[in-house]
Amino acid sequence: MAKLLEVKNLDIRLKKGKETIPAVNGVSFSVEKGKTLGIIGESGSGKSLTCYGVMGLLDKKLWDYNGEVYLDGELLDIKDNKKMQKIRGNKIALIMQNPMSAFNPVITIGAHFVETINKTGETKKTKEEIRSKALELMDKMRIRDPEVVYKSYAFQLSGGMLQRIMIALALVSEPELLVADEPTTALDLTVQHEIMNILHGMQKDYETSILIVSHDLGVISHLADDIAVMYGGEFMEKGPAHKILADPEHPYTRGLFSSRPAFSKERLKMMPGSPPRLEERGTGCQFYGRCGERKNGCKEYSPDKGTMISDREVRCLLVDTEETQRKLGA
Amino acid sequence: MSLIEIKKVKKRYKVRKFGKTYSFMAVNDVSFSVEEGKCVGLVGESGCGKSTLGRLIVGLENPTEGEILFKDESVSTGSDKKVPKRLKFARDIQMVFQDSYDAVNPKFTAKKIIEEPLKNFTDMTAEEREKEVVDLLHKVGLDEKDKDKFALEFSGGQLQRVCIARALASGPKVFILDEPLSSLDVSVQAQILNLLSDIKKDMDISYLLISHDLEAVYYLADALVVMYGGQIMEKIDDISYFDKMKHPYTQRLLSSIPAYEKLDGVQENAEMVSMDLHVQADDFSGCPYVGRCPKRIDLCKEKRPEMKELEPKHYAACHIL
Repeated sequence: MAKLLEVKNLDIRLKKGKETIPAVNGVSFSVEKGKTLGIIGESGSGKSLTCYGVMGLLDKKLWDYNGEVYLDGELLDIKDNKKMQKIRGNKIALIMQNPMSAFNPVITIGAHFVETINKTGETKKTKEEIRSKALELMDKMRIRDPEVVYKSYAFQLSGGMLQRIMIALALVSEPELLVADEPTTALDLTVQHEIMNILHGMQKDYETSILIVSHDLGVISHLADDIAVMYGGEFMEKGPAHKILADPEHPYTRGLFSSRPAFSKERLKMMPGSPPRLEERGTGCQFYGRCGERKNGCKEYSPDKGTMISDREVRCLLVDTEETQRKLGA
Repeated sequence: MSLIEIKKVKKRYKVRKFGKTYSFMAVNDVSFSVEEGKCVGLVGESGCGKSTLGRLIVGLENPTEGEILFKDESVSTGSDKKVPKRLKFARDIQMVFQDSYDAVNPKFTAKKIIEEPLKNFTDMTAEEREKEVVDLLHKVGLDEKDKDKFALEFSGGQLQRVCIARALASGPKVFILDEPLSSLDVSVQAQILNLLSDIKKDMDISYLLISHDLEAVYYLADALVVMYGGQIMEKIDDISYFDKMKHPYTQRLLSSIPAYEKLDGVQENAEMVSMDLHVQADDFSGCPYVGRCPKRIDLCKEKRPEMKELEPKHYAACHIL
């Protein structure tokens, strides 16, 4: 499979006075054509930052970021806002978390479509062309009465409806990659289900690749082909979804999975403590403080790359032993 | 014995929109009870009236019709608004809110937050209160030295623990938990869920757990109420009936949860309509779920289904069941 997006050593640091605090530590990943990569992790683990970093949307006054981002084999200049603007919305589109605040309240939904198409497209289109395109897309998103919606303002519509419109807007210029940052978090359960189905169906129709970020294991397991588990700005585990879901290797992944009750009344196995804040992060294994299986050497464990176990990468000393190395060598 | 009894409660709100006044039923004819030492889960989507019901029970709002009894005494003030009857029950009925940062005074230290109900409801001396605060902090899994921290110095999960300690301070009989988990991380949610289940066991407190997270509700609840459009759709008095729930709305809710796979043959995306307010209007007499229901019949539009007993401890309001 061809790689559509490839990210190498993305490093994001928060500027604080003369110092910089690492927020994302050299993550590398790739998204294949027509596939979905899900990044899962708790708040503050750097998931959203990774997305914004890839799109070049970070404020340069606040963040210092480095890394190579390839789209379709072409190196993107993520620090050049002008160049990135041509790519954003055109080749990479973003779906944001809170649909209620992502729209401009003083212009109609139709005006959003006009703006998006005219800003991203190479040729300007007439209002009629845009309208028919928008109605067609909204119909695909299963919005009832798209004509009424086209004339409405954002505050007149419900959250689920707006999220569907946001997806329609993202698809207007037929992007190759869709970045979805917690697309269902602000929505109700049944609406979340509908949105997930739409994303799934849309991927089939357009062969779009999706980079989806969520803290909800259910959403990720439903949509993703590959999963990356993020904690403290690093990937703890990365690999094909069915393998990670069935048999998580990293203690953090295991802890995350067993934190959900999963319709049983048995006492939950919980991880102590809470995710570290940016300033509280140490060197070595980020999960050290909360890990129930830590041993000597874990505190200093900080490899450049995780251990590869068949087709998955795990960043843990328990896995990175001579024994597994020998087994892998054999 | 039932501790809280909700009898045919209705709550009507008036909304002004473009100069016209509309009134709608936020809670419409809801009855159920919370038994002593048990946890009732109340689930539904946003706007279904579950939080309004919580506010009615605490006495923050008065029901338009019907009554809410705590130990056979009415909680609501009725027409006499001068008497804050709420205070009489405040000691016994305590609430834990969704966003803990909004629920505490940011200028207070943890000690002051937890001490407040002790000052209001007991005649403890300052030393006794201090000792009690430390005790409560230990009960919710915090440390003694945390008592001098301000709200913003805590993480979300820790502050939710402080809120639980505050609710425990007055020695309540009932907790109204309004989405206590939804602003927390998954790993912290698990900690709070375990804490709540310990408190329930050790201190014999009854819960009304309001949440949209069926998975978490299943973990804690002994009984379950499913609401939609201000009305109860389905109700089970024993959580072991969970797999037998069959109201079309409950089925839809369950099929939306990726983790719940026991259900087979559920409808996929019947019709995608958001909840309409008109089903809650005064003059609408049908079933509130009629617009989205894939199994609707003509009768559903005209007549509201009555709550009927499908089997012992299992009730549903639906014409086709």
